[in-house]
Amino acid sequence: MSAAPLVAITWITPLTGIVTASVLVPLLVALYFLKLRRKPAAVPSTLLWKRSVEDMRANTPFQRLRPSLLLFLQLGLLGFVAFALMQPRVDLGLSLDGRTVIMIDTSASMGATDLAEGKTRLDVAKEQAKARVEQLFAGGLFSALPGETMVIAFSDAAKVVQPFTRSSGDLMRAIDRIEQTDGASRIGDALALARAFATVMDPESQGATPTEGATLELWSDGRIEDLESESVRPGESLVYHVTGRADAANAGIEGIAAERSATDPGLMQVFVTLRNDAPEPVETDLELVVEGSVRSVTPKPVRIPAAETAAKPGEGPAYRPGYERFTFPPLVQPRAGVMAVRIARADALAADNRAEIAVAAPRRLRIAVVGNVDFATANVVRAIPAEKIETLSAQEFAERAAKADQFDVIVASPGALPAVLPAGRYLCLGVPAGVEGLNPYGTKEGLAVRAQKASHPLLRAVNLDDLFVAKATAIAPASDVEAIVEGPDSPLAVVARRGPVTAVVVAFDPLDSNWPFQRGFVTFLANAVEWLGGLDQAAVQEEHRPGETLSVRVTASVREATVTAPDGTRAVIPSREGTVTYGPVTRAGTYRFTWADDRGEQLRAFAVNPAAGEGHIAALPEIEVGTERVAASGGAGTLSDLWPYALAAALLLLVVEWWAYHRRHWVRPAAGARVVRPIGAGESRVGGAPIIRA
Amino acid sequence: MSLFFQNQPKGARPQRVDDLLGNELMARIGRLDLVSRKIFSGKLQGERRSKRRGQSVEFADFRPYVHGDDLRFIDWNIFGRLDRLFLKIFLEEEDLSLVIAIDTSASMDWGDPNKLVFAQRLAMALGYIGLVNHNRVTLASFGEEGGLRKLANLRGRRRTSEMGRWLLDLKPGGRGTFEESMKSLALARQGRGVMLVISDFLLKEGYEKGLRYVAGRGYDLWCVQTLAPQEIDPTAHGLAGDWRLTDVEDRDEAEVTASPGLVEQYRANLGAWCAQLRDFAVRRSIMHMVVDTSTDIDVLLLEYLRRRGLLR
Repeated sequence: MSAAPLVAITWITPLTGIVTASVLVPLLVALYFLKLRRKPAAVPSTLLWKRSVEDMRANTPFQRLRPSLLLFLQLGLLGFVAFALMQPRVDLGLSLDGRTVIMIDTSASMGATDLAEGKTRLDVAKEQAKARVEQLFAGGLFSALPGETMVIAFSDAAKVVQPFTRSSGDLMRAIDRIEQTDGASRIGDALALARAFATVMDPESQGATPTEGATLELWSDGRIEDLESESVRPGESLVYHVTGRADAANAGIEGIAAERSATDPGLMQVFVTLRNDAPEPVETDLELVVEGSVRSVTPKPVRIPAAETAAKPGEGPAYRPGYERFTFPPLVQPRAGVMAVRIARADALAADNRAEIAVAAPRRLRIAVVGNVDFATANVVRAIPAEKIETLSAQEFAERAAKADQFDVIVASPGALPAVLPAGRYLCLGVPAGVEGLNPYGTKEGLAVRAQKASHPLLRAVNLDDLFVAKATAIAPASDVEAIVEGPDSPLAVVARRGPVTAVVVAFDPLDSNWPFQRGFVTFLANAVEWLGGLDQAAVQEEHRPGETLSVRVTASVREATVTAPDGTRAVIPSREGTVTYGPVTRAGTYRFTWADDRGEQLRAFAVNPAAGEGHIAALPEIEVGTERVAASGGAGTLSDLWPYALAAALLLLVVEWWAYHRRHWVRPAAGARVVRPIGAGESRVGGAPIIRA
Repeated sequence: MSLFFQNQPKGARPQRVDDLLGNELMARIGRLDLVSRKIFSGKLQGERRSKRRGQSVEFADFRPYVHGDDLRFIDWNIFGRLDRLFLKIFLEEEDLSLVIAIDTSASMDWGDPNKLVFAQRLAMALGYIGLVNHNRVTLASFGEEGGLRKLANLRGRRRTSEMGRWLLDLKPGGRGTFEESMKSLALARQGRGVMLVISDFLLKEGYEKGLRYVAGRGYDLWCVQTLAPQEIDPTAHGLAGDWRLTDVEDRDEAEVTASPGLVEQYRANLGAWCAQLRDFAVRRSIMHMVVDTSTDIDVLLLEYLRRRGLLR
């Protein structure tokens, strides 16, 4: 797309005007044809008139529609009325004593290539924004000093690319610097930033003056999550430049998951959720790619149903994309790796045609059983497949506390733990002293389970309905302690996270309950050990989305880790308190953390997929900010309504028409008709004959 | 701007003889006399008989005597001086008859000033001049149903009021019988003289035949074509827009839209009509004049008709 034209007219209701004009104009012309009302007059002879009419007919083929000033005036009047009805708006390109904030959406959907071949929406938006900047700084007849302009790029988070400036060069370079992300689209931060910058600090009054009216020029496809919760404040004006086609359709991968087989950790299963935003079903093949090599292809194309727009009574149309789930057959993947699923079909948005998930190698745990753990628990723990299981006394554990991170999970009785817990992940059967925020305040007796958080991984396949607890420690956990099993008065099981310490605390001794006799007890312990050991992460990988921060836990001896981004750039991140943190990430793809510790070279891969919901790429021609509707402006610039001018012109024509109707005298009388001239010296003449006249 | 076509006023009809010819105008035109070109054109005394011979003899010229000339007109003084016979040539004064034919068809009762009233006034004034100069004045009207009406052979100033009353009695109407009327006028001709036909000559059946009857038969013929200003320039008098025009004579209708082109075409057609009549007249030694009825009668008489040679 080239630069926007200098004066672009936008029509809001073109159809109204076209319909009006197409009905009224032929009607008016027909009325001129009919002309039923003729004024009667008597003349001495119709001889000459009839001859004249015949002569005229002979000379004019379309004589019935004689050029009449009135007809033209009325046609012009109708034209102006129709023009006004179409509600034209013109981009004068000169809003500009105020400030302008250029906001460009860089979310994943802006990567769609529906507008131009080989160009993403973001490319087009950047071109338009640059054309707008040129226009603002173009000068010309109406140019004043251009107002200050700033540039903000936003997706999950907003970023000031260029603070307020009057330099068009800076603005151009800033717009060029804007990069595509795979994040979601949220405008709240961008508006807050724009307002923060637009607020003028007055050093003398030591305060902020009211925000100057800024023109917010938004380039987006309108698919912005948080528009409803935002509003355009007084003094602000929002200009929405729609970037993208309203009929753009797309199908993509909404979610991906992978799980190792419980029985054979070397077997891996991959699940994908496919989403279709097109009005018709889509069939596509899927490929499963592991570390660059295709490992599986769907035997026949997967059919994703069409998106539906179903009207719910009282709510207006509800949009429901088409979803399809697909599970690849188990494949052997004993090692760590990145598994990617690709849609073998090209569409407008390429970003969501590929989803990745990183899986770790099946890992054996190192478990410590500390203190006087009851026999039921100890027996269950010993049955869990592990690299090694050590049984330590309180004394021994205290001695090796500095190296606590050599154990993945520590199963402990409450009395065996020191007052300050070393970093590590604990399963405590009883309330330990070293965990803050549990606030034990006595004991309760005769308790049953009132509620359990069934969705928590610890309670997966655990039924506590028949659990009876004879005696439990009553705790009043702090708000950041998550209660997963609730008794009548106090929680029976909680998860507490305290920096490097994660503890699952059961508030009673299993031997004080009937739990060891139930199947759920075994399942719970196994879940707890797996979860604490991170084994579930190795088996079922959660997805990461742009905007998230990626972090890996490393041993205390590790100083730094290297992160390789999807585009190949490397960054060396120092370790802080045993954690290496990178991000927030903006692009989808695989991020690889590598570091070396006492066990050798370590690798942890993270797969980041495009933000969910960005697959719905059909651009909105109108956005609703809070309660205000903002229609898209086709060109760039400040819009000014033209219909009042058209209406004024129509009124003016009406006056002229009235005058012309009453004058009806644009036929001029013969010149010099009243001049007396002697015959022979220069008579006034009718044709060739002289007339004697007074 | 006159809005004649919107209002179509009927001009006030003259009720009395004084309305036709005021005293002041009567005094101014009383010394005028009618002139006939045919009588001026070199007629010799003695070639034809004059009813009032010797009373108003006016010397004009000499010419050599030829055999058979009246010996009484030989100039003996010249014979005495030159010894040659010369004949004195006198202008013959004949009794001049003045015929004024007025078109009273419905088309004449139109316009502001009214064409018929204008014709009545002009006829009254010319008739008065004729009566004062002892010419034989005949008035005729044609156009009404019943054909030609005549008031024949008036002579002398005292017949003025009779002539005026006859003119006042003229009733417009009818379709006109121009050809018949001219034919009977030509047949009833007495002597030589001047004949005026006052009409708008807007005759659908044509004027040529009728004029041929009266032209070239001893009459010095004048065609006075009266046109109302509204006919000459309709747009200046309110003809604009869409009209259904009705012919006052035959009720024929014409639907017109007075566009500039049409009005221009009308003007051209009117001009062509007048020019055609003029050409016809010139070829037959007929004097033709187009008179706008807004012209003052005294200006017409004292300036134009004197200059054109009808009056002196």
